[in-house]
Amino acid sequence: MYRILLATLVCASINSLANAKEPTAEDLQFFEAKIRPILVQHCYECHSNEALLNDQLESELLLDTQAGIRKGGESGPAVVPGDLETSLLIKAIRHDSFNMPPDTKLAPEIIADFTKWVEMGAPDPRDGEATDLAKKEIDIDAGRNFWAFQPLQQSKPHADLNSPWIRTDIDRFIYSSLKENKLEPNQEASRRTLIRRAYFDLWGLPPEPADVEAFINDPAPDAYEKLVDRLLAGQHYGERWARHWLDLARFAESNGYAFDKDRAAAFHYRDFVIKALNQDMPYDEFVRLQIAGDQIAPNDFQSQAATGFLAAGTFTSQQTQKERERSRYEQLDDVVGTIGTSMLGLTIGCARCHDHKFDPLPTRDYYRFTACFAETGFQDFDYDPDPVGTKATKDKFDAAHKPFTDARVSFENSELTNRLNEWLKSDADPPSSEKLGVWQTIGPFAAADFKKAYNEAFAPEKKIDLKATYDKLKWTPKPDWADGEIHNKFSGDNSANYLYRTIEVAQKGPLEISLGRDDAIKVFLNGKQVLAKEVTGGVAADQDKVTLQLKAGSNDLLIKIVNAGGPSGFYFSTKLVIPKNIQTIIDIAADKRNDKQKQALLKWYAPRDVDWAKLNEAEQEHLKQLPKPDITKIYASRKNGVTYNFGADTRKVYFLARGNSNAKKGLATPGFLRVLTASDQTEKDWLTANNSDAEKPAQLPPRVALAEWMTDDQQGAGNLLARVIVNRLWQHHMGRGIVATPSDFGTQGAAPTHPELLDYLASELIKNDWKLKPIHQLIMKSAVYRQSGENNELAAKTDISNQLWWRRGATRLEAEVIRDTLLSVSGSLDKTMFGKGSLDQTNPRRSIYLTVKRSNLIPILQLFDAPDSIQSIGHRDVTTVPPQALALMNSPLVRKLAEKFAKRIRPTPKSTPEQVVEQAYSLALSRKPSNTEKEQMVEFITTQASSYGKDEPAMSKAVVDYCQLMLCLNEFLFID
Amino acid sequence: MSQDNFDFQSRRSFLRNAGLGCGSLALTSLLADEGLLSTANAAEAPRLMQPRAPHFAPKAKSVIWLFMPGSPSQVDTFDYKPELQKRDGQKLEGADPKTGFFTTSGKLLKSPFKFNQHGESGAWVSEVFPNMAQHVDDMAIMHSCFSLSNNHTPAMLEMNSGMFLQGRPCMGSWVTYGLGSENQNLPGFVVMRGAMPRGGKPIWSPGFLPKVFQPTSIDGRSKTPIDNLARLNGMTEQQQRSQLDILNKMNKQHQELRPHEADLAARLESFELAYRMQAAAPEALDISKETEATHKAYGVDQKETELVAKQCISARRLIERGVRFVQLYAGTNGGAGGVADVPWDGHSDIGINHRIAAKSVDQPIGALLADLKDRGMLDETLVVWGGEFGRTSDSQGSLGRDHNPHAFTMWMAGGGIKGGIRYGASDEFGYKAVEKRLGVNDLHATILHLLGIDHMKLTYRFNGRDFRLTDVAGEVVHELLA
Repeated sequence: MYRILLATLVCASINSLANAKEPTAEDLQFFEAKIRPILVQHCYECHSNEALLNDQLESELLLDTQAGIRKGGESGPAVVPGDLETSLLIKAIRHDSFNMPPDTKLAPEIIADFTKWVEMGAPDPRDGEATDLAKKEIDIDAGRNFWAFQPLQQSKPHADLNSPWIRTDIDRFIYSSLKENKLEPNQEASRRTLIRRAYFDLWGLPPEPADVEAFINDPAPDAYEKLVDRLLAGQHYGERWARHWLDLARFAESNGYAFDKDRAAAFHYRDFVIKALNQDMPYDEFVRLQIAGDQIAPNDFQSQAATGFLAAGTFTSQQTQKERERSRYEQLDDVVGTIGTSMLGLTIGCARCHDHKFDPLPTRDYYRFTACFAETGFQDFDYDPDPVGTKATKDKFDAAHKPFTDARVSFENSELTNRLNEWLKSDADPPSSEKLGVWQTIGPFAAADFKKAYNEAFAPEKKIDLKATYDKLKWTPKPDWADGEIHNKFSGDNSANYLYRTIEVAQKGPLEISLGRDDAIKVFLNGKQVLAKEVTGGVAADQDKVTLQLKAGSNDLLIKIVNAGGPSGFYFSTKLVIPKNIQTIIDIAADKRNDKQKQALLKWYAPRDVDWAKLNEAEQEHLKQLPKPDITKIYASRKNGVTYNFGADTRKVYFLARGNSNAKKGLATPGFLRVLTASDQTEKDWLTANNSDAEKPAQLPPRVALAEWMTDDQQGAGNLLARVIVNRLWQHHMGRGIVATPSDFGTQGAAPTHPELLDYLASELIKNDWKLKPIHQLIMKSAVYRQSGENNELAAKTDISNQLWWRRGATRLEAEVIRDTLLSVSGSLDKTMFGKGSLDQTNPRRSIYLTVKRSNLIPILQLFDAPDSIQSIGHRDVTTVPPQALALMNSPLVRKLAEKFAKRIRPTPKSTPEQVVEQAYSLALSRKPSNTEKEQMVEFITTQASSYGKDEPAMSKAVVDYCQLMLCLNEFLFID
Repeated sequence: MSQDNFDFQSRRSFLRNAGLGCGSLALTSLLADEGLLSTANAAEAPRLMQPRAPHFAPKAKSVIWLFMPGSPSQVDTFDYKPELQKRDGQKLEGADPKTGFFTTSGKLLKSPFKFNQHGESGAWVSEVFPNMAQHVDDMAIMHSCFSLSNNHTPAMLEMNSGMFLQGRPCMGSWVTYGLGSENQNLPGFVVMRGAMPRGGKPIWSPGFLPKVFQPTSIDGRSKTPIDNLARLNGMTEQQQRSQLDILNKMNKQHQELRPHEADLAARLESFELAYRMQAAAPEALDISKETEATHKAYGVDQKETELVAKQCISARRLIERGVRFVQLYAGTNGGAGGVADVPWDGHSDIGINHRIAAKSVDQPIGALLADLKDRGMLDETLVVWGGEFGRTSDSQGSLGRDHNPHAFTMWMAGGGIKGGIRYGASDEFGYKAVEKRLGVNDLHATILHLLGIDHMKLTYRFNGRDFRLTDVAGEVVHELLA
């Protein structure tokens, strides 16, 4: 026992060694009487070997042996004999760090006993070895056996199957499992259904009636294939599919939290996604740029914008000091978690506090993965498309500008210095430096009484516009009104007159003015009130003194004189103020002034000299020609970019016990997920550049290495990356993924319904250079995509939830598509692409261009289940609630669109109700109404019109009511 | 109120789908997660707002949460500290001047208010709450509350969702997700407010739960409290009815051809619900239907109390009509003694600040408790009162108090709460909770328990993880239960 004690002490500090001694009987008595009972009563429940066996052990801390208490838990030794500072047990019971016991603080006497005990050297007779808690490491190799972590199976698409239904290899996989279950798939849907399906799917917009007719009447056998190719080549494809990705990227254009500051330059990321999709950028490149574009291609606009992906998470600008470090780990967790769910379909975030309970993701991997982002921050980046050109232009300008500066400086060093010295020797006041503009006056503005005239901010107070007239009142210049004299020129009872002039100075600084007034006065400098006196009485010189803090350049001075009755007027003069620091320098004997003081004096004096002012003006004038580089701000990720600052550890990532930033366990170095890495050596290879010439391989930036690992289908995570994205394509085309949990490919996620098909699609993606459009084509040209939604009693019995794809399910349009379709059908859609968005839901552009402000999300989109942009969303809920119906029935937004729709289908009152109904059906539903439908709708319009009265207004209101109900139809919102 | 949408057949089938028969709400989440509940699969889409049986017999059917934004000071309201009064101006040993948002003096500041004992339980209440004080025998007053953030927005997020980050569902959303609502013609979860609290709408976000569980938020100062509720100008009820009749006819024809698409039927019904809501919601919020005596009792007739009085009456009317969860952000102040628009944030002068804020809520809340009791509703309605954290026992400046997450007082009444008790304790100055410390997860677990929900079993799977309101913690505090 004592041997163990000694060994522990050797490992501990010198300080504690000094306290080492064999415990006396008295010491042990103290332990038995004061310490052990408390430990048993308050601590053992969660910190003992018994707790361990019962799975109730907390923080890996065992307090029921001497060895255990000295070894401590996750955060370090609980007791260090003689050392109160490092004994965490003492801190915990004092509630200095851990607040233990958790519910009730121990009595002060007990805390005192423990303190004394530690000071005594913590005598402790309890034996037993410190239990080795080194948990069974997750078996990574065994983990690799799970299907999602396996290489892609290169399975043959059932070449032997023979059915006229089969159109593509996809169909072979589908048909084979249908056949196994003795089911037959539906036949191809009608062309009308197909064109709506394809348009909404790829563009998120309804087809125009002419497009529908052309397609239906196209005799070409590959009419449908041509349609799909045309839609995929169209610009609207990127706008539609970017939204799916932005959901995953939790994209928003504001910080979130209390002040929700706007990120005005964040929309470039949205534009990047649209463009990348339209260009069919290979998906692996798309991923690499989003993780490390700023480092992979530092001079490329799109690559900068792509990193908006990492930067899109929330950020709380209002922080207390205590929250910063915790917030940084939250920020990194958001980045890592989003990459995990969106790109790899893995819940990496689950390994933050403990090893992943189900998947082979140890905490160690979590922190090493996180460490790849340790140096990353997020901010606006000034993008210059031509930095070399910018520098050349600037150099040229500098050369041209030099003579102006030289002229001024040389004047300052010679003539100006002489003039200053002469003035210093004289007794004269310094010449004034300000240029006072001519007085302008306007008034009287009358009010009900004096108080109101004083309080009311009349037009000139809101904005100075010398050209404006207000109810016949006009500004009048008064060039003859000299300063230092009383001007009693105003009139008007209970009224206000305004005086305005500019004051120009070369340098910012104070100017004292002296005022008189009859009666009350307010003074505003540059729009800010600097004096207000609600008084009455006659005018005299020097009644008020105000020191104006002037800015360099032109200043606006506005004076309001309020008159109660009789004559009214004012007095104005300026007084030169020599600033205190300058006066101090003046008071120093000339030969005692140092250079700095001389410069300050010269700088103050210069604007008072007419010749200097001319030189200065010429210089300033030329400076206006300073070339402005073509800078675009992009909200993006940077090494050493902005993040929460908490000192030395700001750009480091530590292993944390239970995710707690107050319990650091050591610095984490960048690394990847081992289960998706061929070997430890491959990880090292990635983190160092492939530069065999250099003696020491240069370090590759960790994010670049991570991006390479993510997209490598041989040594890294590429296979899973491919599986996850093709599943998402399938999901959006078909309504459900092959893996029904699209963001969870782990052991707790859904198993693939068609694993061979999934791997086939993933292989096709890689084979096609990671391009997505060929996969869209493959899916959409398959019979399984093209089939009808008809019911089949027999199939319904076997497979009601359509796991085997014997029919096509109907889907409700997503929020953005609903809004875009309303705009399109009503003929109001503005198809302008890209650029700054709008927060106004009545803006006629596509919904993807509406600004995503986290505290002010677009109401109509929110109603139809648009995400809140806080976390990555792989599948939107589809809810059906009364507020949606209320918005369609009662919102001015929808009514206005219905009115436009009505104008479109009934441009003149000459159209018959029959024509109106036919037009509406073809625009909104891409078909003609049946005879019954036509009859019923016409009857509705007629009846509704008669309820509104007679004649044209009644009819046009009825048509709007009709149009509105067309927009409420299920057939309008659900696509077969 | 009409309950004709309580479709028992469909409810039973939902229970079967959601696996509630096994006593677990978790399966709902499995279905709802990532598409399994989407149109293509479910034979019948469960109606998510239909009432559902809880895990076990509940004590409370509904909740009124009186949230005091900005956070009242415990030592100036319910947590009487004679030692603090005695040692005004002395140094507070162990004080951390960085406890709050700004920096505090480290010197004790006594309460400017007088305290008296009330009721049979003899609970101490400061003079600012003369009306609430009359109900202490119905309250369990919890003195050992603490939170994890010293900053309004994260602390409010924590109080509502159990987590100080944005993105988790708030309690009202969890509760309606678990239990649905009793009245389909009204929203199941309503938030009422005056000035927008710090953090804005995300404070009461449904997070990753389906948007059905989002609250309808009502600005008590607004003339049109719920969006799109009123028919458009120029359209009569009959004209709208005709419009809906033909819409229904067309939608039915469309649906008959698509028997597997359950959402189509749900959507048909939603138009009828919306139509009825146009009448039901204004009726529920129309306090002119109440007697003058009621108006007077709540304080509708006084300028200082008018807003909260009206909101408290509306809260009672909503609960009476079967609304599940009402959260009221209460207090008006105008920034006196603190921060504009954060009613209880007495940074510069706690006396001025709290006197005005307390005046605005005391009579309405007292009247609400009395009214619920008179109507026999208090037994089934859980009333919760409190802010997002507490305030410091040492001063900020000379007369103010800064934020203090280490100790604060909340109370609960009705709905299965043991009245007339005090739970836990802060230290002798009210600076830190020391006895029976009560975290937000514990509070949530206890409230869910009163509603008949096992907080460990109310889960929702999102992005591969089963989430709970209580995250990985929380214990039901049985001492608080009647």
